[in-house]
Amino acid sequence: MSKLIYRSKYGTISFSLERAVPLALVFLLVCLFVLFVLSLALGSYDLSLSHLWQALFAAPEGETSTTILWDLRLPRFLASLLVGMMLGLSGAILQGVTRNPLADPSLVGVSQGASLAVVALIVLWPSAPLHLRPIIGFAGALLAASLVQWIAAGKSSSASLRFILVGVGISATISACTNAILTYGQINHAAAALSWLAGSVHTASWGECLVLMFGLAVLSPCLVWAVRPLSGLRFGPELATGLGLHLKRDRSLLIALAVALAALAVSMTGPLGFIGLIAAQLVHRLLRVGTGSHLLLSALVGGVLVALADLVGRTALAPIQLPAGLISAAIGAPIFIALIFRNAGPKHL
Amino acid sequence: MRLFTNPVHALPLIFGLLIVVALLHLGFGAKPVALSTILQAFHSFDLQNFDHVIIRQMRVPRMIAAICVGAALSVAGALMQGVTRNPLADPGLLALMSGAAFGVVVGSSFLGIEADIWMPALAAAGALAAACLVTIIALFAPSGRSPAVLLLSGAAVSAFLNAMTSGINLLNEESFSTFRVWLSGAITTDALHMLPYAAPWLIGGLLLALGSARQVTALSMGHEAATGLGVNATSLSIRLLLCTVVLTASAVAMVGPLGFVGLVVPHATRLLVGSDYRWIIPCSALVGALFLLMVDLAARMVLAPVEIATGVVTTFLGAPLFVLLVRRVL
Amino acid sequence: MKYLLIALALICSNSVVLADQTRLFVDGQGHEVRIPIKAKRIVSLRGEQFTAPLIELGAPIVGSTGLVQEAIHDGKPFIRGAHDLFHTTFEGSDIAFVGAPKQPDIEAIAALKPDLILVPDFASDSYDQLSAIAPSVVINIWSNSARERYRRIADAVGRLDRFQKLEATFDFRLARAKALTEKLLGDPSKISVAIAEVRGKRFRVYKNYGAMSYILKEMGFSRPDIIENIDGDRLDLSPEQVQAIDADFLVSSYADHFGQPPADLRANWDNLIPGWHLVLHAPRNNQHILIDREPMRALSFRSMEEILAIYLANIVTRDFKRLGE
Repeated sequence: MSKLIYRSKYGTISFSLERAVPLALVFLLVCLFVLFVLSLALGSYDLSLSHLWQALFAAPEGETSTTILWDLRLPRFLASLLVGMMLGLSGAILQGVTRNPLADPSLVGVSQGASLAVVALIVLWPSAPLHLRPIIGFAGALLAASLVQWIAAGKSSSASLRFILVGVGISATISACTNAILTYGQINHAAAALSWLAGSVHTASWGECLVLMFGLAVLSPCLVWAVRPLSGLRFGPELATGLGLHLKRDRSLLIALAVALAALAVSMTGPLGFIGLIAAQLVHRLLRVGTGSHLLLSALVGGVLVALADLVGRTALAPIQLPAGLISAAIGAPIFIALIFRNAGPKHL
Repeated sequence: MRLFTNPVHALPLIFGLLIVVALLHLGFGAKPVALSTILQAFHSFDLQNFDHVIIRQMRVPRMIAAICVGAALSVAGALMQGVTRNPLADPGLLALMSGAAFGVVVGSSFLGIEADIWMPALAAAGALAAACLVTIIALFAPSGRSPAVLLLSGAAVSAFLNAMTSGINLLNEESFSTFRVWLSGAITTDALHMLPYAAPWLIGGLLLALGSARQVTALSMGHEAATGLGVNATSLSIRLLLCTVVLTASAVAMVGPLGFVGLVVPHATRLLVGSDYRWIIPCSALVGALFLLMVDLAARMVLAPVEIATGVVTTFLGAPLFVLLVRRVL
Repeated sequence: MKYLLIALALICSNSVVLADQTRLFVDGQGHEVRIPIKAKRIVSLRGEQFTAPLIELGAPIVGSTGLVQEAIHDGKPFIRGAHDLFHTTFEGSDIAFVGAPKQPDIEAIAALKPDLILVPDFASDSYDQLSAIAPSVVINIWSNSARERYRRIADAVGRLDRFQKLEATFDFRLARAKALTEKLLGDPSKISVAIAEVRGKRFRVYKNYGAMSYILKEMGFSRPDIIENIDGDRLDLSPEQVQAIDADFLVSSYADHFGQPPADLRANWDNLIPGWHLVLHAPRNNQHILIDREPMRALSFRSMEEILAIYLANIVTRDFKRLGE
């Protein structure tokens, strides 16, 4: 067993790395690299390797190949990778906090809040500029999540159950509003809203990628901080308090972190439902690892999953384009089921 | 942890409310009908008089459908939550709802069965197939038979089927616009066509659930506790899951995959009467029936003459009430 | 900047230098786009709204979105509307399939080297990507009348001359039909026509529904108040309120090849609203008109003229019983 030691102003954290972790890391990074190459090379527009090389390094102005590579393929790959990572992280944190394997960003109202905000924007102000959508979606996600937090706050006796039930209730109310708008709004607006709701990275641009990267960079110190309280929470509330955790505060902070990650991701691409749940669970079932490695691996698995989903979605049935949200569920679910067959998984969830 | 200190008080109260709301359901709707006409519709029915048709052939069927479906879905949800000991469990997690939607979409897109009349049968078939798949996965998984495995495989199968359904719908926009209402569940007059087929299963399922109530309480405390109390946890779980599947599939056949009821009504009931399933099961049947009757009444009245889709009303009406209840009690 | 570059590339590729080969076009979402005066390689992102009228206008289309449905065209992709009205197929024409309307394949479009892309307002979320490839114009679909929308499309592709010829023919036939209506029935607004359907458990009434409602309006027929007052295109009524749409005539659409044959249509009514054919005047007196939906929905003078002929035969020239008689 090797040991990774991380020193920060919050104190020194050491997490034991089981032998499997570096192996898994290398495997995922290789996967990502292969996906990166394939994402650049494959697509409906035929680009020979020499053209690809030229477009990548010389990027001649005004050539279609440059547009294809730099305006379409690269930002799409990057955006799907980042979004997948953020959703994977968010799911892992939420499952840790609620100690419920079914928890994912939709539980805290993030997906629903973003959906309602964007759908309302599309229906009520159809001519709104496209770049408003992520901003409004982000605001909606944060609002919904704060609503859940605010209503769930209170007596701490059954905090986890109360939080889950309030989350379910609020999320359902919000999606009912979205449904009502979709059903009773004008058909054309509803159609536009529906395509956003499918969850896809086909509109990814460099601007979005920059925002996502910036967000991830800002939040990564928080992620390092999150490792300790999350490991504490694994052992249950009593033990966590015994370990000297400020339970109530830490739980709110962790949820806020998960919300921020998911809100940013969802606001860019629309709700990608299954990623948060499956990335964290896949890692759980595959490897029994410490919290830090679990977060890292969940992020990578999420990223690989969405990048793979987008690649498959845009090439498999081309020119028919399948949204990444759909493909990630279609690919992720069978893998997950196969894993259930293979591995019992840890008992603590 | 509950609103009524003695659950005995809750039962008659809910039952009384159910009767009152059922009468309101009959008397009010999108079109005002005089009380005398309502009575006439029952003792001297005239097919030429559309008001009579509204009462006898439109409101009564919807009333029966709402009561049956509400009771079935709520009891199914209560059983799921009891068996899996997970508050997020609902009949939808056995992939029943997504299976139903998938069945309808596949039947209409690939088998060319697009008539509305076939939807219930396709839905029930899809629901059953999906539930069997989930159960098989859970049973044969090496770690199997633990509630977590069942729920997770249910969630995975559900997500997979949903992805397939939206994939097919992507290219199939005309049928998609037609299905959208149906896929979110709708109580309508024609639910009654399925009642003769659904009723035996419904009644059987409800009776089985009531009969197993005591053991569910034991099971909800954990497998070990149940075994300690002399309950064979595994065989009971399988029996109860079967019960859930049967109840949900018959409900789906009548009104389509109506979500939310199975998740929330049992929680609401638990907040009312506590954690003893001998009370939870009958009370959630009544609360579920009451809830869907109110929903259907609201669906016809609130925006009359426009009718709101049932799926939208259930959540609009139910979710805020539920949050209030959670805040009050938990 | 990109449009300029593309315009520049276009100019350079042609030996004849013509600075005014392009013109400024303000599209439905306010984009100011430099488009060719007469587009030569058009990609249409909507079958029944764009591809069908473009075919009628004789405009050069190189790509179109399509749908796939097992029951139609042997499960091969088909162009909605254009397939139904003109039997235009991808195999039988030079039109390439560029994906489903909700999310077309942008790379496949780029491979066609288009000089104009027509984008429907409800699928304009990839506008930035599309306009990196070719000048792209957003056309609003539902918010204006069929004829205005058609004129916008003709204008964008530089075929207004052809449009005006077709329009003149249509106007001539419409005027004849109106004159005949006046002669036979007097004031057309005294005759009411309702468009309603039962589909997917909903009782839905329509104010705007393709050529079906457009021609009714042009001919001057009236509609029941509840339909007239709809704010939008359609409304889901409670089945209990079926009498509110009582009218001289009832119009519904079927789509036999979509698996919605006329017989099922009536069965749907029976299931949701028992006794509808007794309580409604039109079906009681055999004045319920069924119209093939898909050709009707394709934006074109052809479909408008077909619907006109249907109304002439089924409303204007036949014997019928008036409401309240």
